[in-house]
Amino acid sequence: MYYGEYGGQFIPETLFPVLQELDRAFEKAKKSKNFAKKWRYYLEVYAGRPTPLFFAKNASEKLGIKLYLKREDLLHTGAHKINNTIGQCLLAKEVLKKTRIIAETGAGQHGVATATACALLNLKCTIYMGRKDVQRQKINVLKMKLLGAEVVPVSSGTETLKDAINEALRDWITNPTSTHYVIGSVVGPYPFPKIVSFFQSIIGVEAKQQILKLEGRLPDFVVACVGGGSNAIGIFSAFLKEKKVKLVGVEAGGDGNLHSASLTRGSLGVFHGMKTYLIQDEDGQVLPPHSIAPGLDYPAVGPEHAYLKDSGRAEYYSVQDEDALEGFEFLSKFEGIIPALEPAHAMAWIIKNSKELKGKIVILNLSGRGDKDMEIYSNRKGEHQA
Amino acid sequence: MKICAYFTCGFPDIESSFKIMREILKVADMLEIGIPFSDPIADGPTIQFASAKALEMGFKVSQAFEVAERLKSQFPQKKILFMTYYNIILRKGIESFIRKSRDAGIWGIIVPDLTPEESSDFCEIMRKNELKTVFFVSPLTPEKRIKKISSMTSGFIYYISTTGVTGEREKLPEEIKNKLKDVKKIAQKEIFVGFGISKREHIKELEGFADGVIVGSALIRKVIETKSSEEAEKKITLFLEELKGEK
Repeated sequence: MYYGEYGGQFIPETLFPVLQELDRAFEKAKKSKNFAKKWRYYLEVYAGRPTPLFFAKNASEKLGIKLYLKREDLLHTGAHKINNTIGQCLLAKEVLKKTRIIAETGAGQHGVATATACALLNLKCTIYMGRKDVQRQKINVLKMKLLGAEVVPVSSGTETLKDAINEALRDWITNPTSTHYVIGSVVGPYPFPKIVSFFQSIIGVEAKQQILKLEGRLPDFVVACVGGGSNAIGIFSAFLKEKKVKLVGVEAGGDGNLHSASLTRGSLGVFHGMKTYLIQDEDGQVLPPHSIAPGLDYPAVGPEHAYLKDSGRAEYYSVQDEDALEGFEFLSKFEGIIPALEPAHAMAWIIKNSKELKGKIVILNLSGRGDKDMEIYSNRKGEHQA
Repeated sequence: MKICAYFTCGFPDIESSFKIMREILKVADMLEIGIPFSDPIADGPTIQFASAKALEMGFKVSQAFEVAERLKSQFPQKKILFMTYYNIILRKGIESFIRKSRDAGIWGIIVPDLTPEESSDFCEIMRKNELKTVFFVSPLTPEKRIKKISSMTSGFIYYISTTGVTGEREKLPEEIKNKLKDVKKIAQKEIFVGFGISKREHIKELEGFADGVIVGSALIRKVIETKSSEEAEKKITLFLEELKGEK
């Protein structure tokens, strides 16, 4: 239930028995061969697993390192999110026997991945999305509706991701027995961080096998971006016990002033049901986060990351919006891969630290593709040319 | 049947909220001072609105202690509680928050996102400072857990009338009386029913099944619906008297 002092269950009483039921169901599913078979089946023939581990030769030569990309961007719906949504929707349907799914979404990636899994598995789906995000991410809203989901704009608080989670939690408190809440990252009250970590750990399991086959040894560095932290936990988990492998999480430093770097610039707090690092003021009010990457725009972080930071097993850094754009252009230009702005942060960290990484084997978790970010990129470019 | 009234500190501004709560204390048996939090997940739209507005107006947690102290000095006989989310307490330091509450004359603290499982430190410090703990029981809480919750409760049990967030509701759920009977049997503590209480009929219905009710959103709405806070004070007084069956 805890990662060191982090995690736990800070939730209204109504959810307590529901989370217990969820934990029991998950543990049952984890042991069930039948469940694993179904989940693997959908991941392989529907989502497109295993994803390749690609040696980025041009980028490697440029930087003087050996850079491998774990190609989660090639998955159905364009990001690693689908690993978790298929897992949780199957859990809801097959084990919990629930008929209605709710989820939050910021940029819309997790919303689309949830709506997709619900369409596939024939479940009713409601997605909560901040009103500002609804306006900014029209295409994703349209996709979710096309996939049969109801999209509810949330106009409380900052009208973004954190408020969408608040509203999803309120829905769940109101409909605890009929509904399962598919949370999109390794955040929230226990057992969510454990469940999402489990469904995302397939990234690390594959990457480890792949690098051993390609290089005959483990990598020196595994680098991933961290918002809530699900793609990072997903790839880190397989390497946690391999002490020689350095794990690096890269947070969004935003514009330098406003940011989403809860681990590197936040403090201890309790938010969305968990004890973790939080961006807050001296009164404990949560501050609005910022990042050019919508998927990193979250004021807290998964409790396991908080623990990995304190224990020193993983290191966390932040890079700013500008750097992320450089990472975005770099992978596009030299590898023909337009990355999402989220992993572009991790790419930027690698570029910035290429001297220290010289000659090392580095795996970057390329958690999503950049199609969704073209409008942000275009606006930024326009801004700069003006 | 006791009436415990909730009001959001700092809504619509700090001084008006003080005056409104002063009027509330003239009628209600107990007062819950809500300390606004940016992300109140257990609250419905009305209290969310009040909290957001208070924060927008620059509410600081230190003001809640001042308001509590002023109110307590005018109503020394009445029990005044704080209701806030755990992050507010944690950020100020559990010990420091509780001590300041005690010094302000606070009787108990309600934390809607703190379960008994996570509250051993909190309860210990509350006990040392002779403040009362209030924990929640929902319609889904199993019997065994009601026992546990009751054993950690030194104030009263806050029974959530129906699964959901705070806010007014037309009707109380049909099974509520049976549930309350069960809770009373297991818990043997005072029980206050909250979430959705907004009418005299609700209170009459609960007579004999609960020791008190908690009313909040309905009071906040009176302020939202009126132009001046003086007018709101009058409406709130009338409404509370009506709830008590005095009008």
